[in-house]
Amino acid sequence: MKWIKKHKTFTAVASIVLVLCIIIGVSYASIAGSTASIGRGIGGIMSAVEKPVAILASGLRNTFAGIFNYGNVLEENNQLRQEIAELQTENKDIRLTRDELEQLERLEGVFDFDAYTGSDSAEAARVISIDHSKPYVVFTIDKGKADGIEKGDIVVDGDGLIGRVRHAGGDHATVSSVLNDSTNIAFKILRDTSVMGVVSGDGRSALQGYILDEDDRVVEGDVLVTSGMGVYPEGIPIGKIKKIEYDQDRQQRMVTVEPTVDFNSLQKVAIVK
Amino acid sequence: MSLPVLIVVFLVAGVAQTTLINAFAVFGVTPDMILCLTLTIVFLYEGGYRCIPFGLAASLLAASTTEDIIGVGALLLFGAGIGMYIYRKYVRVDNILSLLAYCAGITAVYQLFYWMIYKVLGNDISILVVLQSMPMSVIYNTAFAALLFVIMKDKAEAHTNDRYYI
Repeated sequence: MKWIKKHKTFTAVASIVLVLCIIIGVSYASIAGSTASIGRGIGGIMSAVEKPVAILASGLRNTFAGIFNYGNVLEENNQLRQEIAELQTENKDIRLTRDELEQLERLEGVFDFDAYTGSDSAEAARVISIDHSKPYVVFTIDKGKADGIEKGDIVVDGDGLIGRVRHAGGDHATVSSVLNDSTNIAFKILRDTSVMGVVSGDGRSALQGYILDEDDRVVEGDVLVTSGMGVYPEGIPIGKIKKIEYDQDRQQRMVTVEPTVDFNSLQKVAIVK
Repeated sequence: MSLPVLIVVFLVAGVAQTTLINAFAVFGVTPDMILCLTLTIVFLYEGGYRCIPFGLAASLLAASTTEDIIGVGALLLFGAGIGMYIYRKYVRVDNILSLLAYCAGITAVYQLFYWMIYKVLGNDISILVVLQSMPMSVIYNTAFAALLFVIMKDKAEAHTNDRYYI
């Protein structure tokens, strides 16, 4: 005690570091699947606060996009006027905002994926929290266990594969994107489904991987879809090949893949069972 | 800065970091508001280091919904805050460049350590990815810190190393 009183500053700093290390340790154990951490409980409260703010932020983002694309906005505006007139004649009781409607329309593309053809239900969710100041992409959605969401569920949007549910709380869930997931994703080329390979996320903007058979013909621009082997069902678009290089050390052709999903503007996603 | 003001400021920053600030993303990058706010307050105010626990709390709140492993960002923020506390003793606190130089440097160090900790904990992601987004993060964080300095500069207290210290 005497020593602690004499070294107050050191004790305070060491205590804070120790507490933070414990939080990291508990959080890490929780990710490994053993326990539900206190932090995730706090996450539930935070997500309730963040939800209305996220809706406001979504409006702000669209406003800024509008300012910088004024010409397109005018044209789009005319098209939207026609659409609204048509919708009014159909006398639909639409309470959704224009943005939400567009986002949901894009989500409908999910049912065009081979994996979900014939499926008639998807859980649409809003992205309520995402932090682009950190190197990795993890975000929270406003649907959780109460809506049937479970850990490991696959998250997509109308453009393709987004990731998997990392943690499901009561009314929210944390999603880890494929960019942030070092789990291998087995793919095949849409143009020639006999060509197969494996990719995994590079953290922020692309996926890296390789072609299984050295003799297979692939070109830049080829579209990749999930092959069905592994955790993801078959036929979900992953991305386009941006670069092909031959790795002398590995004796394999390496591919850099640009995702079909725009992770910088995620607003609505779908969880399809 | 009074306790209630600190609580409100960091609470707002914690919520805005994961929501509102995304509307201002440039090349997919947003500034780290909590980091910039903590550094600027520690830099400008005598006794500003007292804001560090509030920064930690805000960082943990934000992390609870956006980080795979909660606490990594908070640990690094703590280090950055302590570093600023030591740094300000040797520079002029009326000079914005002193703040911006530290902010730029610490953002790069922060990102590298963030990657290193995640690497140690098993995330197999290339450092090249962190390096790609780092310049934009450095620029954005520095610009945000400059904005905060301009807003708060009147509160800067004279320091023995300052040009006009009496």
